[in-house]
Amino acid sequence: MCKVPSQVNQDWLRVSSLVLILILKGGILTGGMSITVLRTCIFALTACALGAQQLTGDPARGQALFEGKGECLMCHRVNDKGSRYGPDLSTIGASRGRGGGPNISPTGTAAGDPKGLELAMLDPDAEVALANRSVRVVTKDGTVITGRLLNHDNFSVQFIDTQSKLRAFMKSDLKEFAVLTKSPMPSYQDKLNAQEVADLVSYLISLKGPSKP
Amino acid sequence: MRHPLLLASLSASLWGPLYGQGVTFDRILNADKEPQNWLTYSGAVNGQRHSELKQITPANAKNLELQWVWQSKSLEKYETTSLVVDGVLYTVEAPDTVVALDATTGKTFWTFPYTPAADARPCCGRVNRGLAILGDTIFMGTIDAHLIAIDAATGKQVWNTEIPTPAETPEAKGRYGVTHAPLVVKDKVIVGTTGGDGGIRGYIDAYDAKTGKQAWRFYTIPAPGEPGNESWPPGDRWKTGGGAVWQAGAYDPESNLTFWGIGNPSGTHNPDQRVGDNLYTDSVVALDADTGKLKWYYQFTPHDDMDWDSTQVPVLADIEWQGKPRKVMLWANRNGIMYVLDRASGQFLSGKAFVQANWLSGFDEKGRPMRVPGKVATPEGSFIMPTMLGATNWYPPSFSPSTGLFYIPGWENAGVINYLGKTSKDTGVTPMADVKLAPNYRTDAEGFGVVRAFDPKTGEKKWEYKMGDTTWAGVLTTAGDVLFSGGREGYFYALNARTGEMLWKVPLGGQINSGAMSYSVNGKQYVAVAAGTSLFAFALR
Repeated sequence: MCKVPSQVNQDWLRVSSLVLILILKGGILTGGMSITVLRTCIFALTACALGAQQLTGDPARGQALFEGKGECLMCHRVNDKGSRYGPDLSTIGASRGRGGGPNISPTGTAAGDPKGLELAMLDPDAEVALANRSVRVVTKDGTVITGRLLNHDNFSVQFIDTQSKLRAFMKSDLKEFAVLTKSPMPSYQDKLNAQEVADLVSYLISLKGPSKP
Repeated sequence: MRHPLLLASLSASLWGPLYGQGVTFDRILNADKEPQNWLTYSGAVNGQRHSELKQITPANAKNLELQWVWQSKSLEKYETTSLVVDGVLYTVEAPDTVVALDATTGKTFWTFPYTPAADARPCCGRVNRGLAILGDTIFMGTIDAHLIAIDAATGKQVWNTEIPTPAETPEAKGRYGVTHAPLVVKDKVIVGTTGGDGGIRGYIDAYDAKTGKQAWRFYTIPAPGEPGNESWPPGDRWKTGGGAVWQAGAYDPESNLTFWGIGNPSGTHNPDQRVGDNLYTDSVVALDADTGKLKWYYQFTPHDDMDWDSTQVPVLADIEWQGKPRKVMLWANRNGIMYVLDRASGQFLSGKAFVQANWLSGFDEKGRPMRVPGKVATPEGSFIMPTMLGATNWYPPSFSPSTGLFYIPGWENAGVINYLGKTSKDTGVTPMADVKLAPNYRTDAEGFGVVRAFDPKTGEKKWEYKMGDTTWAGVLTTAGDVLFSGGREGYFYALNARTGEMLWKVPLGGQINSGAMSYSVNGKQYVAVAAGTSLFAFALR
């Protein structure tokens, strides 16, 4: 049950959430509490705090943020606009159930879930769907290329790079190869205020893809 | 235009006895003397999955090339290891359609279509892992619990026996079925039943090869009054105890024992509801091949709370053990332990982990595993390695008499959080087998497939070949010291069986969920493997 007072100071909430995230990332708490439990606490506190303020998001303002200040189109795509590097968010507002779990769903469990989308913006590393993992390769001439991993096997790797170009290498032609389990997405904890987060979430939830006939 | 039947008869006249005539049990017992054929699921009754063919070697394996592809009409997983008898290859289009092909071209001689009952509900796929042959007759178990005899020359049905459902579980009828290759011993055809997760009472049956009449039945879950029933709680829990049999057995002619691996107890994640060791689940049983009477058993995982079916092929080998020749059974178990047992007595000789295994601390003087306290299913969950899908599973290992090494396909770095009363949760990514290639996003820390070579005399690992994805593929070795395997990545590959060196690989476009086999026709050695929904044959160019 959420116990946060309804008129709690917004800045305090943001700082509290950030502190918890830093605690998690820094591993300050170690006394038997699992990382999953900690993440759940942060998720709950953040969602609780934001929810307690009963902020109502505005999809239009959210879209403006998405395409402007947030620079989300640098990585994401919605319908026909934006990069193909990050996950396509054209249907991110459609609920897809939880049957597939975070390791299966291309967009993770956040799809269609406002609280999950908030968390994804504030702490992108909290849950990175398998299909959203990144890859970093270094060619033998020292060129570093990163991208969203599409597949790899014992001998080859396929990914889409930051320029939305499909790339494939034989691992034997690489000096380095690494699957990155952290998200390349920056946290918006310090970049957006709570109202802006609510607006963005409202916009994302409105993205349900083309209506079915 | 040339007529296919004309081609077939022309082939027969040119290449001699193409049809499966006269595959006596003596021929089956001496399968190593006719390595041009692959007469049982494992190549021989000893379960070694080893071919005596030597044409393909580490030096020339790079010259392997595709000879033919046969595409199944089925979209189910293709888990079959084919048989080859005198130039004719017998395979199964999942679930239960038998096809005879020219082993040099992949062209079809005949098809025996079979449509299982609509209410057949086998666990984990409508699959068939293989066939058996005796005389001129092919034998197939079906997913709706029939055993069918088919004329090897014509593809016509000889007899069709419905395997009787145990009286204790009439409501589980749809869960009984056969997914493994039958084993022929003398004049009998031996099969078990799938369905261990579906509240069945497991069994192993023998049927007369000529008539299809049941000869004996051994229940893998003993009834009250039978030895072993005391390992179940009082009441009726034994009636639905599980203990399925879904991989092929082996046979030792010297002792006349046939060996079979038994699956998990039903209700795996509710172990508190079945207090006791739950015999003979997760065991190997040694049965008199004539009577089905139990001679000995060894239980790998007493009171299983992890779903660690002992559904592996028993591998019989004659090795030097502590300085003396010994007839042993090698067993790489789903629980992560590689066992050496005396196959005459069942005596436990050794057990060593072949992957990371944190659930046992060792064995007592009788060979019973000692569980690590807390490494059991708990309400809050307990981290256990290997994963519930296993350090290995049904996909078959190999023993090479040439190298003396035991080759195990398995998974490393895979574990689960085991919850009491709930399905356990993977800690990494541990996917089931599938037909199509699937994207792999995994890191090594989250699990990978591996083929490991062990010296069974010492348990020492000699080499390993690591894959990027996990595997559901078996291992074949040859007297040319070449090892063949594959995995979910879709590569079929050849390794030097002595060193693990990669010799050759080919991407086949689908997951490899079967064990490869080898045969020869007109002096040319072939290696055949199923991948995706097709069967591929390779030979040297």
